[in-house]
Amino acid sequence: MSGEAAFFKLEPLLVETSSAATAAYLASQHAGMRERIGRLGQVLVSAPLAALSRSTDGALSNRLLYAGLRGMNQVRLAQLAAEVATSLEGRTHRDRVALLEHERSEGRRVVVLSELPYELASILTDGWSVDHLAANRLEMRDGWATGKLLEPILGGPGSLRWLRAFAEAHGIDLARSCAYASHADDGFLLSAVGRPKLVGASERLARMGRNAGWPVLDGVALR
Amino acid sequence: MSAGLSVRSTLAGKRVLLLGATGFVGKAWLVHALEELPELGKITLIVRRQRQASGESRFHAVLASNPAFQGLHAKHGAGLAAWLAPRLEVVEGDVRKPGLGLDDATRARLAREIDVVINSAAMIDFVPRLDRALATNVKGAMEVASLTASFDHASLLHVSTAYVAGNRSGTFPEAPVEARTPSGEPFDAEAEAAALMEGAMHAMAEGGEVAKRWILDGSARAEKLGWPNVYTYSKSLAEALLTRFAAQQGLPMSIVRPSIVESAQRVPFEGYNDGLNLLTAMIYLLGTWIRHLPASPDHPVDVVPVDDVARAMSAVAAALVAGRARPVYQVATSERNPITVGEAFEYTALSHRRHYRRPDAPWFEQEIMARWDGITNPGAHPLGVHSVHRAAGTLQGWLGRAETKLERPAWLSPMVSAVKRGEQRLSDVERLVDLATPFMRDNRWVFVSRALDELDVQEPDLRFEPEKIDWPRYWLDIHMPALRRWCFPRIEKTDPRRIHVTTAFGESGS
Repeated sequence: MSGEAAFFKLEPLLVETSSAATAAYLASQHAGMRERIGRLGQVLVSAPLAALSRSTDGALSNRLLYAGLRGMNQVRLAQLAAEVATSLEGRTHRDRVALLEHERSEGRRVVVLSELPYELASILTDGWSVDHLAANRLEMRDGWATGKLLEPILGGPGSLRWLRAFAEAHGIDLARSCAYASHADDGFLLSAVGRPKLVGASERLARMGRNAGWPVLDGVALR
Repeated sequence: MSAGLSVRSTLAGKRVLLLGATGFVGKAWLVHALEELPELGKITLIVRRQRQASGESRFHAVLASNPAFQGLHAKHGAGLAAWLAPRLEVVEGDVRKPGLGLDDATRARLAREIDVVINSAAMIDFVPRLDRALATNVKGAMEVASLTASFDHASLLHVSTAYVAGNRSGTFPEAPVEARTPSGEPFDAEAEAAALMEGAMHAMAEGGEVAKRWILDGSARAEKLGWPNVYTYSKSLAEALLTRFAAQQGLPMSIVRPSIVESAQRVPFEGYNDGLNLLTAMIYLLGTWIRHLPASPDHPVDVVPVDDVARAMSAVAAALVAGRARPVYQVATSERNPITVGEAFEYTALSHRRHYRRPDAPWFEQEIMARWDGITNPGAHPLGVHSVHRAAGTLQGWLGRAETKLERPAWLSPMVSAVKRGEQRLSDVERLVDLATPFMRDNRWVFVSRALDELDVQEPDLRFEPEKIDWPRYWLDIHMPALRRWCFPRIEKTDPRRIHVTTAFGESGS
C-alpha cells in the first residue's frame, strides 16, 4: 500500500444517521421503563449542550450523549446495534460505499471514522472495503456500560487529533491523502488532507468548500 | 499428586444399573453413555410400570418418541433396536418397593454383574404429596442403597441436589449434610424420617381430611425447618440416611449434587431440554405481561447444562470403580463461573425481544411486547404478580357486589367470569412465583465445585469445565431457543398447578 489513505466519515456520508439520534434511540431501549425514561431524558437534556459544543469540542458532545447508556448490558448493546444496523440498511448510500473500493483499488489505505458506538459501526461496515475502522468505544465494567467513553473519543477536533496520530503511526502522508465528507461538522477531516472531497454536501459544507476551493463530487445537498 | 483418571478405560467393560432413565438427566446420561462411552459394558435400566404399561414398554415408548434419542435414530435408523440389544436391557422394577420389586433370579444375576448403581430416580415436584416424596426420595433411595449393598461388588452413585443446603446464604462445600437444619438447629434426620414414615402410614390409612392435613403440615414443617420446599427437604433426609447407611455397611458411595439442570450444550444435541421446571416457568412469565418478579439481581443463579451433569456422573462412576471417589461432588457453576440473576433476566429479556421482533410477528408484539422487559425487584412492585393479583381480587369483589346489587344482569356475567378466571390464573402464577422466590431473591447460594477437578479426568471431552461456559451465548443461542422449542409449548398447554420443579432429574411424579 502507498503512504496514502482515503478517510471516510461513516455518518452521515455513507449511512444516514448521527451519533445524537443513535444515542437517543439506544438510551430509550434500556431494560425497564424507569431506566428508559431516565436515560432518554438524560440524553435529551444534554442534547442542546452537545449540539452547541460540537464544533468546538465534539468529544464533549459525544461524552454527554453516550452517558445515557450507563448501566446498559454489553450483550444488550450488541443486540440493539444489530437491530439499528438492520433498520439503517435502507439509509445506506451504496454508491458512496463503492468509493471505498475505488480508493482501495487505487492503492490507498481505506480508513472509516465514526462517532457511533463501535458495536454499531462495525456491523454497518461489515463487508465493506475498510482497512481500519475508528469509532467510539464505551467503557465496560463486568459487562455493563459505565456511561463513559474510552480514549480517544471521536468527534470534532478529537477526530482530527486521532487522524493525525494515526497518520504518524502508519506512515500516512496526509498531504497526498484524500478525505470524503458531507456535513459541516466534518470539515476538520477535509481540512486535514491534501485532497478533500465533498459528497452530497450540506449547504453549510458546500459554502465552506467553495470558499476553500474543495472539489464537490456531486452538488446534491443531503438536506 | 494423584494420577489422572481415564473415565473410558476405567469404565471399559463395567456394568451400570441406572434408575431414573425416563427422567431428564437419566435420558441425557443414557445417550451420553451410549455415544461417548462405547467401551462401557451393558447398561441395565430399572423402569417402573405405569398403569397398564410395563417398564419395558414405557421405556421403548420413550425411546421411540423422545427427542433425546433422535441422534441415535438418525444414525442407526431401523437398526437401532439391534444396535441397542447388546448394550442395553430394561428390567421392570420400582424404587418404592422392597428390593425394588425384583424377582430373586434377576436380583441374583444383577448382584453378580453390576459394578455401579446410579440412582437418579426422584419425585421432582416441589410441592408433591409428602407421602409420595418420602416414598421415592427417601425410602426409595434407601431401597436402592440396600440393594446395592447386597450386590457382590457394586458402588452407589446417588443423585441429589445442591439445594439440600436449604434457605440460607453462603458458600457451600462438597461435604455431607450436617446434623443441623438450615436454620442451625440440631437435627436427627433418622428420627425425622422415621417419624414421617410412621405418620405417613397412619395418615394414609385414615385417608380423607386426616391425610390432607398431614400432607399440608409436612410441607409447612419443611419450610419451618429451613428448606425451601418438600423436594429439597426429602433429598436432604435421604442424604443423611444414605451417608450413615453407607458407612455402616461399608458401601462405596458418592453423592452427586447438581444445581439447576438445564439445556444441553452438546449431548444428546445442542439445546436438548426435557424439563418443565420452575426456572423455565419464570422465564416463560418474563415473556408475558407479568414481568416484574421478586429477584435479587446480584445473586448467582446456579445453572448447569445437563450434559455436563451426565459427564460428571460418569467421572464419579469411574472414580468409584477406581476406589478413589469422594463422598460428595457438586456439579455447579456459581463458584467458578457465576451468572447473576440480573444477567439471566437481561439475557432472557433480550431473547424474548428477538422472538417478538421476528419479521412475521404482529405489530403489537414487535413494538410493545418486544420492549416489555423483565425486571428484577428485590421488593414489591405495583406491576408485580402479587399486586396485580390483589387488584384482580379487589375487582372481583366489586363486580360480585355489583352483580348482586343489579340482580345479575346478563351483560355483567361475562365480565365476572373473565375476572374470576383471571384471578384464579393469577393465584396459580403467584404460587409458582412464591416457590421460585427463594431461588431468585432470598438466598445467595454459592456451591463449591472442585472435587471433580481432583479426579484429573484424562479425556478433555469428558471433563467438567464450568469456566468454559459462555453464558451470553449459552443463554441466548442455546438455552432460550431450547425452551421455546421444547418447553414453552408444554407450559402453554399445562395448568400452572401441575408444573413440576426440577433441580435434579428423574421420573415424573405422575
